[in-house]
Amino acid sequence: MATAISFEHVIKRYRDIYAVNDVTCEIEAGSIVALLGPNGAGKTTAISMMLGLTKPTSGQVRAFGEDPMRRAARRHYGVMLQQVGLPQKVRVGELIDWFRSFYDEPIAKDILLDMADLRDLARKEAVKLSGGQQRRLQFAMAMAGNPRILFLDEPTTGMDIASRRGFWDYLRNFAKERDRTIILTTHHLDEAETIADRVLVMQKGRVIADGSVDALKRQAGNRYVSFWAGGSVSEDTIAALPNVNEVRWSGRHVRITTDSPDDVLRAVIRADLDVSGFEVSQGQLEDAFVSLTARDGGEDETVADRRRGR
Amino acid sequence: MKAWLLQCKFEVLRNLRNRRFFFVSILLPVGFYFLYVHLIGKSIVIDGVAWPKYYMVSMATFGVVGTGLNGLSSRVAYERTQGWVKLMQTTPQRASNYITTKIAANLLLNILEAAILFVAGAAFEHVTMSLAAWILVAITTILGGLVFIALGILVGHLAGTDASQIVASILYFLMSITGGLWMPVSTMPPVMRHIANFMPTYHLAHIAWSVMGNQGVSITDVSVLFLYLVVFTGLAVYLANRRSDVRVA
Repeated sequence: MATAISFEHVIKRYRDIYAVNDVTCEIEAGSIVALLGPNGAGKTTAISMMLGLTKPTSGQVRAFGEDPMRRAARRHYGVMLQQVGLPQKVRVGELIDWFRSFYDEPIAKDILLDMADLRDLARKEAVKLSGGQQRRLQFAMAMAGNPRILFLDEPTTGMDIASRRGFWDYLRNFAKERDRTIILTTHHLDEAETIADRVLVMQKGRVIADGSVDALKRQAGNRYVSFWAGGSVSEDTIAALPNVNEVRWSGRHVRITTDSPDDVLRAVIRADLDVSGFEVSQGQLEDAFVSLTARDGGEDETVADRRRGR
Repeated sequence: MKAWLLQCKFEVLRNLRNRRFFFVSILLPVGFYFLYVHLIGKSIVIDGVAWPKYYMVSMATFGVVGTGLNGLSSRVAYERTQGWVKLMQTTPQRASNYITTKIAANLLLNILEAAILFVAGAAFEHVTMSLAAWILVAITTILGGLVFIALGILVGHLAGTDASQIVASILYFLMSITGGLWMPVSTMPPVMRHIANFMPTYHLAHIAWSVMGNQGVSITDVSVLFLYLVVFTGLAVYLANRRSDVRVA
């Protein structure tokens, strides 16, 4: 597999604050990567360096082997940034033509308008569109050059549920084609969970977890065995089971957090406890995210809190 | 090149669609022109130039100053602070296109404004001069607008969208009045004449006034304008690069 983006010992320092602190990783072409992390974790700085907007203090960032600060690398980029105010007095169709003009082989204007579901609004002034429509227009602008890699920074902000669903369906189709890469940040972990085949969790400038959604959930250890307990089952009995990390009782419903659901189940059945309605689940990515970032020292801290002494 | 021309076209269209542009750059100068030519009287002569001719240049310059300052400052500020410039930098186009297309578009608008005022003067107020003088006066007004284009961009880098709009408006009126574009400097008290000597507005219009009064082009006027252009451009470039560690080229 070819490498789309590579980071090699990348450090970005603003005075004595390390926004990105010695990150090394590769993103393979054809993967959908979600970059997650609490505010101030360094996601935006990392993306800025991929986009060639920011120069690393040290280390090397490459996109398809080229320096993203150079124009050549960005021919393959499609970019959707957060909170971009579209220019005033420019029409929807004009903005799309404007972006198409940057690339050698742009996608046809009508296809882009359909992609954003804005064909009927092509002559409307772009800034007069609703928030969701503007986001869709920005997506069409990002797609104008038929990019090999899409960068999406909080792409669904302002979209309603229907647009959001359509958007992710569209992206899935986009990614099906060979070697197309998507790098996204989002606060909606459920979205990341359904689309990403790899998740990078950043905190305080470092990558603290890297893997598939399932691997991350396993790493976080949030697996659950739950069931309904009969009257004869006491709290002590449950607590005495092997590999139990935590037990939560809701009336007669029991949820056990465990590293090894198999062992818990086996023990429950062997002891012939009066229980019914077994369920084994892994929890959501959100649970994994919370416990991973909490494990590494509290998620409310920002990069600014961490100053490296020299 | 195709991308550059297209972007330039959009920049021109954006100005033409803006009511403020229409008011500041076309309606106000043309309106003032006809008003004051008739209020003051056509037979008055200022510094050896007939009033309708003199004031035609004043108002053409006034329009050019307004377009550079008003059209660019708030737009540059808005696009700079609202992430648009950043988004443009992630595209494969040259980073300089952003500003060069704006400058080119403004020069085209300057041509339009000068043409409107010159047509108003020639067709309605019987302004006449040699073809060479027309060309020289036109080129001076249009290219001299570069100083105010640079100033507009500079203001856009100094302040946010709303503040830069206010700063630009204040500069626009102050520089126009003190530069003798509304009322000739020679009719003002000595202290105002002294102030005018420091104004790029005065020196820009003065080149054309001198040409029309057969006095030739003064080196002082050209040097002062050039100095202003260099200072405004230098400061704008410095501010544009200071904000972040983004690339320049």
